[in-house]
Amino acid sequence: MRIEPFKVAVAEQVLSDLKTRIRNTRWPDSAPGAPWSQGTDLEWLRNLMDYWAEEFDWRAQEQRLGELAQFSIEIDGIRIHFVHARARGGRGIPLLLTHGWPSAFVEYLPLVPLLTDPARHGIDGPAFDLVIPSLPGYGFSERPRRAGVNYRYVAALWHRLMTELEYKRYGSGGGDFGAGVATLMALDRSDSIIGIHLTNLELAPYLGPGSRALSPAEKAYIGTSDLWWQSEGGYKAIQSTRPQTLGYSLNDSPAGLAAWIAEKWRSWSDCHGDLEGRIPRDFLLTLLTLYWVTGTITSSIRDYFDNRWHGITLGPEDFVRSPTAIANFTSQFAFEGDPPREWAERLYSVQRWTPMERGGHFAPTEEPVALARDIAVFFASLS
Amino acid sequence: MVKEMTVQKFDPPYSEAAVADLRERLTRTRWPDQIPGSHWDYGVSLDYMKEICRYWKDEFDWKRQIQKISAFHHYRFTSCGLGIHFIRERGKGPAPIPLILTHGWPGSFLEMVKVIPMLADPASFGANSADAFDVIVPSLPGYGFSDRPTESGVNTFRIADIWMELMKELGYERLAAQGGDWGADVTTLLALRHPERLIGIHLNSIPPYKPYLEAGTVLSDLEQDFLTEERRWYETSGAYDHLQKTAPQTLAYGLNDSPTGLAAWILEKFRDWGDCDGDIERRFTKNELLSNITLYWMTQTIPSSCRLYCEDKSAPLHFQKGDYVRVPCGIARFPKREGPLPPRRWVERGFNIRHWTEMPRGGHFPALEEPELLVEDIRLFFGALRS
Repeated sequence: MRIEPFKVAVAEQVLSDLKTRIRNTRWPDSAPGAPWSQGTDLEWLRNLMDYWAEEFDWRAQEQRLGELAQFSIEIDGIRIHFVHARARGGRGIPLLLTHGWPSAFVEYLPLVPLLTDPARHGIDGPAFDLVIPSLPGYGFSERPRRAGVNYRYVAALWHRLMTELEYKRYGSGGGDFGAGVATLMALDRSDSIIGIHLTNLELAPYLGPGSRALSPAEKAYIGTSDLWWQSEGGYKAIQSTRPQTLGYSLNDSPAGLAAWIAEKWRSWSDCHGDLEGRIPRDFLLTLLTLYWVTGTITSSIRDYFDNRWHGITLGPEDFVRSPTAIANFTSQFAFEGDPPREWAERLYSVQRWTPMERGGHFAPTEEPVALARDIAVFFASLS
Repeated sequence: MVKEMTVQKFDPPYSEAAVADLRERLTRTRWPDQIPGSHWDYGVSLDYMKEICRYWKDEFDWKRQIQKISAFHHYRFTSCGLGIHFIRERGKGPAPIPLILTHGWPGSFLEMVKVIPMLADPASFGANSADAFDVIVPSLPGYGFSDRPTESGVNTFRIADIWMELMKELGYERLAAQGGDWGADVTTLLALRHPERLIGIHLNSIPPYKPYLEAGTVLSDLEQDFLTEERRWYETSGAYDHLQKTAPQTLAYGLNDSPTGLAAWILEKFRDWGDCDGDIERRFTKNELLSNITLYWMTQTIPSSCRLYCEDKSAPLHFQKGDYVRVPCGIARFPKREGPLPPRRWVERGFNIRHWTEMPRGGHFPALEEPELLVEDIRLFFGALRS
């Protein structure tokens, strides 16, 4: 389980092939009706793709990424990539941060300066040793070539990673799949967990016999989620049932990949429909380039299949006793509902509950300062 | 004043450059990985994809397929600026009746190539020339050689009206209609909206319709079970529908740009919906599968074909009070379809069922899978209505 330094370095031939493919895109017609009403808008995407092929500077992004200490480690027969950013001036509170889909470790990088050197950024609180891995099958992490890679599997993997880094007790945080993984770490390894910090609620609590009746706010939340599912859930339906079928086009067409991922960043961020007003173009293209050059869109969407068919079922005894903070970033453009605190309390010992005024699904990139402050205050209260 | 020519002869186009571009793209395919031994568990198997795409690239002869298709008489009809492609083969018999056959998704007019001659010229196939039909096979708007609609509103209701216009233009006052998948929806709407002009309709799949139910209607156990099964089916197999209904454009970019992506999306449905027990080529030849896929590729109609699901959202086939298909209906129920089989009672709530055949075998694409069974059933049903 040797830990080796890792540097992002993409072969020139891969980048030139990407540019050729973008220039050779066979564009579909534009959809009738309002822009974006049937999915990613043609004109918007064409602009983005032009920029991707003609102006986007991947090498500059690579250099920027190279400034971070990155490593790879083999655990359970697969290579796992991670960023390890230690607190400035000595040991900080160890904190593992896990991204979700369709994202990558880069979503969490805006937190690195804020949490490793909080004082310098006017953040009142402790400094952290950050470990930011790439989920198995995302970016530079491999995914086991078998079924059943679910939250629980990743939680165990991350525990081994933290043990290798000689962290006995640590915090865990994340959103989307990352929130699921953090939850399972707390359920399965509570003795190692100082506390968990979530930016959204990935897992539904146990609602079977013996559970408390739903409150009006919980009913409203479920109602909104159901409506969201009907209009927005197609990606999840396909990714959890036929991910391989979808993979052929997304791995073969940069435009297909970009449309698929950008639609989610627009719907799920607090962008009021103007994605680039919220998420810088270079960031978006760094993310897309990561998916493209590593050829990992198909392995990443297997998460939906595996967590559905080989997943975990939460029972009445499943309760996260570790202190839990929830920073509730619910201002998604496509509103998915506002979970009330009592919903979270079914599964977690909620010690901190922060409704955030701004920010959607990708909080570390959208609202890094608000998130960093919330993390710092929470872990300060636990030490 | 000169009347505008709305029907014109049409030759299926062939482009050497487009074939070269397709081969080039196939050569450069960036394959995803696959979990070893997972076969079709996660979707279309990588091994199968590599096999059929190699054949597509190295052996499949699109020019030959176009030549074969060109043996039929092709035309284009223009309705409000929208060009509709169709085949018309006149019946060889004493009194052929006009029959319009409508395909669905992810099929095309190519599904009908085996049954067209059998229906138009029964005597050449050892059947009675009295059973001959004038066969009309259109391509749905946004499919095959029909135009791709640029505006919203080309839903199944509109398509049924275009079909009636077309048949009138061809001089047919009364006609028979047949279809499956979207074709069953369109055929149902022909009968519902133009009963006076329909001799009868024959469906090889039950459209996903909702009958009008009076308050307090009690559904039979079989109907309840069917609806439960249908919901369950949708959970595990309805994602394509969910996606095509809500975000067809997002899907369009990859499928229109990647031939392998397009092939996978379509092949999955032929395997899932054909009566093939998971062995797709037991039912369909590579040439049949690839002709259909190549047609989608060359005409760039996967986006517009998927959009029909989106159009259906605002115009679903939900029967209102008084909606009932009065014209005689014949149903050929093939054992394999995309979801559970609706019980007869459910269909009878909305349709005047005169003929119901439980087929011994065959699936969602019977014109390709079981042409003899389908043709025999069509002859039998409409034979009884000929007077």
